[in-house]
Amino acid sequence: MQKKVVVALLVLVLLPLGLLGWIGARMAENERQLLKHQMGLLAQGQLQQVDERIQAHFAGLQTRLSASTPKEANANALRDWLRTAPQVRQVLVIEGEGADAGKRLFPPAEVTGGERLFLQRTAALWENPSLLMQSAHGAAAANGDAEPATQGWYSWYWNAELHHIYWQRDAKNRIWGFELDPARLKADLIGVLPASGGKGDALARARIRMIDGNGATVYQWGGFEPPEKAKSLAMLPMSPPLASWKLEYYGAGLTGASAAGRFQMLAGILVLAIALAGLAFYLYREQTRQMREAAERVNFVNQVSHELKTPLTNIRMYAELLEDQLAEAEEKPRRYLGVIIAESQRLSRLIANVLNFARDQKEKLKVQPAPGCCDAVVARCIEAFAPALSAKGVDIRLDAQAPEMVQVDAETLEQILNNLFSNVEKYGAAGGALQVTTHFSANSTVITVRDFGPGIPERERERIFQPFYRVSSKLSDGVAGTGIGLDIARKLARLHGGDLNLVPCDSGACFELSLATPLVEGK
Amino acid sequence: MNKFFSIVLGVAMSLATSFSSAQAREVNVVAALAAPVLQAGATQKTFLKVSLTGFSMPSTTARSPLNVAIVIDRSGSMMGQRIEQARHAAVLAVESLSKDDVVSVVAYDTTVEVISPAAKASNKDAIIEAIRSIQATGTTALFAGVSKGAQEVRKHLDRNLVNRVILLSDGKANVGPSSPAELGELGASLGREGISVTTIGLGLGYNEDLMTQLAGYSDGNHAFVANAQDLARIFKLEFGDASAVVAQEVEVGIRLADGVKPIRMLGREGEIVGQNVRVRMNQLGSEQEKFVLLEVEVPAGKSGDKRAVAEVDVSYLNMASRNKEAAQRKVELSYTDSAEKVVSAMDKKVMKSAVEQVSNVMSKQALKLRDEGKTEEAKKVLNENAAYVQDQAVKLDAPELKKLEEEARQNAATMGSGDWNVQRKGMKEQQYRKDKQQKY
Repeated sequence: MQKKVVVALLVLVLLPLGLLGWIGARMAENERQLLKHQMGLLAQGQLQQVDERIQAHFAGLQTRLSASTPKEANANALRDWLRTAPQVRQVLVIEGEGADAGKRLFPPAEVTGGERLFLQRTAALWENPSLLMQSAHGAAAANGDAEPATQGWYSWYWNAELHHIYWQRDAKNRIWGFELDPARLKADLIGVLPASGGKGDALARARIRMIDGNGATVYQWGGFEPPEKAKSLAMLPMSPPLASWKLEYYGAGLTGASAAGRFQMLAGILVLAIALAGLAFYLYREQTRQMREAAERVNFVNQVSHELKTPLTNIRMYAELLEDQLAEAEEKPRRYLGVIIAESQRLSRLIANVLNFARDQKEKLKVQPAPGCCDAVVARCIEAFAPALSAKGVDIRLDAQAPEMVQVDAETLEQILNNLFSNVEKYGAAGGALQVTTHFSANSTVITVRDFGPGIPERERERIFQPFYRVSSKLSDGVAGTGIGLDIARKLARLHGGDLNLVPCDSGACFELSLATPLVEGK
Repeated sequence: MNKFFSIVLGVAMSLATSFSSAQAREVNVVAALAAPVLQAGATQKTFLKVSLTGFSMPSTTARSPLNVAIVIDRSGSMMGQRIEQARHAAVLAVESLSKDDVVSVVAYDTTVEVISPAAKASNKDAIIEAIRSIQATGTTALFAGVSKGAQEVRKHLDRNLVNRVILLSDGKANVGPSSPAELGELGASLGREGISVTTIGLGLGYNEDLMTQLAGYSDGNHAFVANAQDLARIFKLEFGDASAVVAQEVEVGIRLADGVKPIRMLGREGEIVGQNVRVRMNQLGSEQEKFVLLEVEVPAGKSGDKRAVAEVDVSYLNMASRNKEAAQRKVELSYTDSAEKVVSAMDKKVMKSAVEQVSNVMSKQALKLRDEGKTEEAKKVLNENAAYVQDQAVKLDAPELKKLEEEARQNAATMGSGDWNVQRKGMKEQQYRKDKQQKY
C-alpha cells in the first residue's frame, strides 16, 4: 500500500516534470529549428551575394579582356600583350571559318617554353576545338539556342588544378581563348572578397569559406573560428566557371542563444520540481499519518472484535444448549432464547466480517477448501436465517442442484451467504420472497440469491462492492450495516477462484456467486 | 689592328655613356661579350652580358614615391619576440616614409585583416597605432595575405610609383594555395602588373623555395633573417632599396644574329624563342647593376673576319624623367689566329660575372643533390665550385672572387655536419642574390 503511494507521488512529481521538460525541449527544438532555418536562409543569402560578387568579377574580367586584346593574331604583338596582362597566362587563337577552320593561329609554330606547356595543357582542345563551344554558358546562354554562342567559359582540370579559358568570337569569326592564370584568379577573388577583422567587420560572428574542387579552402573570412569538423549552416555551389567550387557559411550565434534558452528552461523546471517535490512530501507525510491512524483504528477494532468473539461464542453455545434442554411447552423462554441466538448469530457474522476485513487489510485473507457439499452449507444458512426472514414475512424458495461432494471452504461460503441473506433481510424483505438456486457444473458451483425488494439502481451496481459504501446511509431508514459485507463477500469469492456479481433481473436484486469447486474424486 | 680598334671603340663608348648618364640621368646600358676576339677556325661558346646600371639619384627628396603594402604573418608561431620585432620594424619603416608615399599594412593568420588600408603616409600616427595592435594567433594563410596586400597596392597602382608588397613570414603556408609553384605563378602575375614582392623569411620555419619563387618571379628581393632582432635592419635595407628605384618596366630584348645559337641563360629567367631572347626586370635601383647573362654558341670564322653577334634593345621607364626611354646596342666579335690576342681581348668584367653565375649554378646543383640525400656528392660539387672560382680568380686577376670561393668552401665544410635547414635557407638566399643582383 505504502509502495503504491510512493509510486503514485513519484508519478505525480515526475510526470508533469517530464511532460514539461518534453514540451520545453520540443519548443526549444522547434525554436532552434526555426532559428536555424532563418539563419540558414540568411546565410544562404549572404553566400548568394558572395557568388554574385564573384560573377561580377568575371563579367568585368570579360569586358576588360575583350577591350584590351590586340585585334590581330600577330605573334609578337600577342606576346607583348601577354607580358603586361597580369590575369592571362596564355592565349589561343583559332581560325573560325573558311578552308582553314580550326587552324591554330596562336600559339605559332615556333613556341616559347610557356607556350609549349600551354599546348600540353590544352592537348584535348587541339584535338577537338569544338569542346570550347560546348561549354558555352553565362552570357552565351542568353543568346538562345538557335544562334551559335559568341563567348563562354571552358574549364578543365590539369595537374589536379582547375584551369579556365574565356573564349569569344571576333568579327572574323576567329575564336580567341584566354587562359586565366589559376593562382592569379584565386588572388583576384581574394582581392574582391572582404577581409576580416576591424571595426566594420560585417561577418564578425561568422565565417565564410571558399572551397575549391579538391575540398581545400582557398580563402576564408569572418571573425568566427569554427571548431574542427563543425557543420556549415549553409552551403552554396558556386556558379560557373567555378562550378566545382562551393561556399560554406559557419556561424556561432545559434549555440549562444539556445544555451540561454536552455538555461531558462532548466531553471523553470527546477523551480517546479522543487515545488512539486515539496507538495509530494507534504502529501506523503499526511498520507502516512492517516494510514497509521487508520491502521491503528483497524487494529483496535480487530482487537475488540477478537475480545468480543470468545464471549459471544460462549453466549451462543450456552443459549443453544439451553434451547435444546428447554421443554417444548415453555413457549416464552423459548422465544426469548430464539432472539438471543439470532442476535448473537448476527453479532458473530458482524465480527467475522470485521475480522476478515482486518485480515484483508493485512493481506492475510485465506480460503481453505475441504471436501464438503454446497447444498448442505446453503441449507444450513437458510435454516439459520429462516426465523428472522419469516418474521419479516419473507418466503424462502430453494432450488438446490449442487449435492456433489466438492472441494469447498464451507466457512467462507457460509460467510458469503450470510452477508447476502443478511442484506435480503435488511433491504429486500419488502419483496416478500427470497429465491436461492444452486447449480454445479464443470468444477464450479453457481449460487444465485434473489430478492424481490426495491432492487439496486443501475449506477450503484459496482459501488456496492466497495468497502464502507452503502446505498443509503440515512440512519432514519432504520437499517443498520457496516458497509463491508459485500466487499468481504466478493473478496472471499474471488479468493475461492470465483466471483460475486449483481446480475440484472426484472425486479429486486439478484446476486450471482460462483466458486471454483473441484469435484472430490471417488465420492 | 682589330684589337686596337675594339679597345678604342669600347673605351670611347663607355666614356660616352658614363658622361651622358651623369648628365641626362639615363640607365647605363653595356652589352659586351666575354671574348670579343675569338680563335679562328672553331665553333665556340662565349658569354654575352647585357648590363644595366641605374644612374645615381640626384637627391633623396627627388625619389619616386613608394606604394608599399607591408604584409605581416601573425600566425601563432610569430608569438612573442618575433611579432614584437616585426611591429617594431614596420613602425620604423613607416616612420621613414615621406608624405607622398602610399602605405598599407595587412596582417594574416587563418584569415586576413587589412590593418591599415592603402593611404598616403601623412597620418603616420594612426598607421603606427594600427601596427601596434597586431597580435599573433592562428594558422598561416600566406597566399591570401599576399593577395590582399597586392590588392591594397593595386588601389594606387601607378607606373610612376614604386609598387611593392613586402612580405614577412616565419612559417609555411597552410591555408589556401601553398605550393611554391602557385606562389611563383602569383609572383609572375604581379610582376606583369608592375608589382614586385619582397619576401623576408624569419627564423627556420618558412619554406625558402616558396619565398624565393614568389620574390623571383616578381623580381623582388629575398632575405633570410635568422634572428628577429635583425628585422629592423632588413626593413631599413628593403625600404632603402625601394626608395632608390630609378627605372621600372625594364625590358631587355636580344636578337641574336643568324648562326649564333643561344645556349642558356644564367641567373635571371627569360623567354627564348628562336633567335630572340626577352627578359623583364621590374625595377632598377640607383647605382645598381643588373644584368642578363646569356651563353651563346658562335660559328667558326676565319682570322680577320668580323661577325655581328647580337642587337640589344633596352627600354625602361625613367623614374626621374617619367619617360619611357630606350637604348640600342650592337655586339660584334672578330676572329684571330693569335691565342695571345684572344686572351688579352678578354672582357674581365663579363668573365667575372660569368664566373659568379656559373659558380651559382654549381651551388644550386649542390643544393639539389643534398635535397636528394646525396650529401657527399653535394660536398664534392661545392669543393669543385671553390676550386673553379679559385682558378678563375687567378686567371682573371680578380681577388674579389676570393669571397665567392670562401663562400663555396664554407658551404662544403658545413654540408653534412651542420643544420641543413639553416644552411639551405642561407644558400637559397645567396643564390637568389646572385641570380637577381640584389642590392643587399
